Amino acid sequence: MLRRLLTWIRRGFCLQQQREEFASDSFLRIVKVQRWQHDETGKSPMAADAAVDLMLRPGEKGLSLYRLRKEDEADELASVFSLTLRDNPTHFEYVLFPASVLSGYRVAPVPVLDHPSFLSDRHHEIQDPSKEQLLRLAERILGSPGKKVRRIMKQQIVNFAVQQGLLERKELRGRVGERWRALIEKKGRAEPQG
Amino acid sequence: MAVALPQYSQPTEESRLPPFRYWQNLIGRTLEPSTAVASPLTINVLESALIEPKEALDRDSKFGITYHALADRRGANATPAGRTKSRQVWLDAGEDAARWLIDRLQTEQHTETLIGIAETITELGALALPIALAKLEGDEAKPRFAVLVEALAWMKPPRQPLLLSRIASIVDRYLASPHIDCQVAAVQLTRILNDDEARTRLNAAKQDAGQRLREEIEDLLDERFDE
Repeated sequence: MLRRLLTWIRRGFCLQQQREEFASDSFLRIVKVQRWQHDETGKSPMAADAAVDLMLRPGEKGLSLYRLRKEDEADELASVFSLTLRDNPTHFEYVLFPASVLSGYRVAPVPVLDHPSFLSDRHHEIQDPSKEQLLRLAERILGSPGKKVRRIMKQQIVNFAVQQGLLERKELRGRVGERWRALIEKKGRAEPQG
Repeated sequence: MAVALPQYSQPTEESRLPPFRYWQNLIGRTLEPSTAVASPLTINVLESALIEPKEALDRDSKFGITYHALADRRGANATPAGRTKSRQVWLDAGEDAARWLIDRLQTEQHTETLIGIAETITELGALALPIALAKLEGDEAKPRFAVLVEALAWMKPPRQPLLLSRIASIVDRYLASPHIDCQVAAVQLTRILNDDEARTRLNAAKQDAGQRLREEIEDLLDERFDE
């Protein structure tokens, strides 16, 4: 009896701990920053414009998001995503928002094993969302005081890749496009590490 | 405050499938042809049908099917080599593909699809360049075409002086635009100009640049001249 009670208390404690962990997580969605920020005249972003970044492409079944345990994982995510999945070097723009924004949505981990594990492990989807739900989500994100709208410049991605030695990572070999590779190697020659 | 997101602890419908079905689902997703065809495509099909009925219809339906895969980075498209291979339809169609893709810029809004269009135009290179320049010269500088300007920025610089001077004019027109997206794209396009021409334009633009454009210029100066 006592053992059952202890197990029950322990399980409840773990569940609570897990919920708190999730609550401190953030979700990242790749967007076009200008749809989520005040414009140069100070005009607030409109949910309908922001929702364009959440709409599914034909054939897409879920809305792709990346779950981050720590905010600073965003730099690595931006770098690994850009280097491996984009051929023309460009900036990486995203909105980061607290997990609480997604309460009520059906969010599930959906690993993409074709991708480097850093991306695959963090990939989640909101499954089969309706247009209406996505518009509401855009409104919620825009209204969230915890949201962060960011642009990581191309050279920041290159610098990160040089500092972290991303080209030497076995998993990324053969996945980094030649234009990115050329920029990283040039930077690496200019600023040799270690 | 703790927020309950019970869905995290539950496996998805998909992940409960047997492994073979699960992977078939994931792979099938990348192969699934587009079910929705945008209305401009329909107009394009009708226009083309008046000229070359069967060929144009075949071409447009082939393009329509492969179009949405441009933004899909799963399966074979997860690596640069795989993407190049899956773009073969566009590369084989050459100028036709460039025209068709550039027409899509009038209506397309999906960020990853726009990136896919730009990358394909970059790969089409010299075949797409004259078509892209004609499009950019025939219209005022518009944010909608910024992605096309950036696509040119990653092409090999052409050898013909006339093409280079046309590119330099596009850079000047887009730098003079009031739209930040156009200015940013113009900064990127200086990449294709020689060092002196690029540096002159970047330094001049930096004088009156707002924060966003300044960041862009400094990013490029850092990349190109280690400044």
